[in-house]
Amino acid sequence: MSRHRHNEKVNDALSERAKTASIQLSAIVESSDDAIISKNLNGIISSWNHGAENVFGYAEQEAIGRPMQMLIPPERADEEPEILARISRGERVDHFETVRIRKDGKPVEVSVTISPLRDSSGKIIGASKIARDITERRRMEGVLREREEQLRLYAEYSPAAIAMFDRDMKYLVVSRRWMEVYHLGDQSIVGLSHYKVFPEIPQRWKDVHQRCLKGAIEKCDEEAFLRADGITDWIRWEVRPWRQGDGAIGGIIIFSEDITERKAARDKINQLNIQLEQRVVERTAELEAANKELEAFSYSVSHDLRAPLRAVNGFAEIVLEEYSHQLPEECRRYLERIRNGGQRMGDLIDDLLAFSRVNRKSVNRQIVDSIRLVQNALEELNPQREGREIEIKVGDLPPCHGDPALLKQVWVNLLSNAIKYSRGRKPAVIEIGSNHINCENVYFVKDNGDGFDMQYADKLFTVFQRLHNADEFEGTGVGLAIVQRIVHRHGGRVWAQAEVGHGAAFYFTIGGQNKS
Amino acid sequence: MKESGEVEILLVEDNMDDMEMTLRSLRKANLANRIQVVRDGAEALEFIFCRGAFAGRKFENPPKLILLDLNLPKVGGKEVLKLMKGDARTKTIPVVMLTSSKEEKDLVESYDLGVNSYVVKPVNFESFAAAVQELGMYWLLLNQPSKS
Repeated sequence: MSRHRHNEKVNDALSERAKTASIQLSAIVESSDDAIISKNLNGIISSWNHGAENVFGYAEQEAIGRPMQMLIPPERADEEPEILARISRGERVDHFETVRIRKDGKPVEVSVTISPLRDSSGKIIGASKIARDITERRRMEGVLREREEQLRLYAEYSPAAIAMFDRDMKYLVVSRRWMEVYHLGDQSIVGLSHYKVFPEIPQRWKDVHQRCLKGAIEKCDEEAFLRADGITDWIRWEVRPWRQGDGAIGGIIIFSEDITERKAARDKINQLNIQLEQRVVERTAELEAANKELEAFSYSVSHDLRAPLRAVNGFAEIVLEEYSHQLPEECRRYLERIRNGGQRMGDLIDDLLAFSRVNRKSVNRQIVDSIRLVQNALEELNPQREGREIEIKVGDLPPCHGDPALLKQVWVNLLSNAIKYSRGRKPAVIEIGSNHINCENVYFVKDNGDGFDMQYADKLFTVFQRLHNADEFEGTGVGLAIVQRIVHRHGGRVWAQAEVGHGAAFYFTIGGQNKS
Repeated sequence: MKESGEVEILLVEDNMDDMEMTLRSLRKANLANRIQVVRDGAEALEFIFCRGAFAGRKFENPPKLILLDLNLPKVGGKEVLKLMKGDARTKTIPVVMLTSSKEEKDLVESYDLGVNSYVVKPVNFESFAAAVQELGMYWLLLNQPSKS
């Protein structure tokens, strides 16, 4: 093979390789999203890739041969000569961020890199320009700035003391509340070390920070801080790490809240509760003591008041029994009155005690058979009914929920009154029954006796209040007071309806659950 | 009376008026001769347990009935009742409690302590007879041949 041929062959091979490289290069240029443009030193566009079409809107045939100037907004017209001057000097322009005009007239933000183009002899013949559309990047940067600003405002104006630190415990963000709580004034502490701002900070806290910088979350709902002025502040705090985009711990966030006032209020409430309980205990003890005293008093009245009364009654009785025949008629009558007076006083004492017992006795509620209760009451009143003509009508008597012993007393007292005040009638008619009114059983005892004037009805249930004098009808005026007390202690009501000469009716409810 | 042999009734009563009325009632039933009266609980215990002033007495000859007032000086009626009902030598002696009222509390407590009956003062013949009847001692005590 001749040398020439050989050279020819080499040249062929080289040109083949150059051709291949050129094809590869143009494929890369064509497929790039960035605009890749070349121009001569006069600023006339000489090549225009697909990316350039996308970024600026001009097709290849529309752009080639036209001046680069067409992409530059009028206010930036002086940029191009300067760029061309730099290119002519062989310099590069790297990542120059500017604005260009699209074919449709809309501005587009671009980052431009321009390099000189040389011929094979090294002479600068033009420039290649790579322009990247950075509109999206700019938008993202805007969003990011906005987010950052939101976060800063959020932290700064948060009503809690919050501070964010980097790994070196330098302040990144701090809330105004933090500045207030720690008396830091208006100074700017962002960028300063926490330990410079608080040189006296104890090691214990530094340890907490270190542990949290390693990933721990620590908190305390109530911790005492002794302030420099000697006052104790109560703080609720929490320290937790924050992480960077790559997941590594970027620093910590300290949250703290002054709960001194809240704690003081809560402690006060607790203290008041304790005091209240104490007071309840004391009052209960006082009441119990008072109750005991009252019981002792009643007991004493019951026994001691009766002793002299017994002597009065007893000896009057004995004189009447033994010496009646020796006494003048008048004397006997007086003795009789002494004995009757004593007897009445005895009755008053008995009734008063019975009344006080009603108050002391506890109410033991149970299901009570009202029919049996009324039967028992009537049996108990047999002596009072003796020799009388009484028609007793017993109607519907549903069971109720109450204390049987106390309720029997109610029936006895009401029936006893009915029998007593109807003794002028022949026959006396007593009606016992109940009505179901408004989901409630209303029990009643009616008689056809003397009745009473309704204008005094409010006095009926008062102790020792009587609407008849003792000559007409005997009694102490305690019976209805006992009835009312028992009914009230059951949560019920009692009332009366009457007319002088036309009988009386007494009604009562038991309250609580009526079983009907 | 201490020397007159067997005492049938022990009356424990501090109130002179009550004592006189009770004795009268018993006298009406021809029982007054065999009655021992003591004025307080301490004395009652001496009699019941045959000691002190009554050291000469014998447990083998107990009274047939004790009338015991509730409220007594020194040792109360309930205490006397408790002590004698708790002692094998004396617990079988029937006791009738004399009280001023039918205070429920007293009744319950006395019955708990083993009282045999209850009489509300003043002790007239009827209530006394009723109490004795309740004890089944009617004929034993009330049909005494009158001492002449």
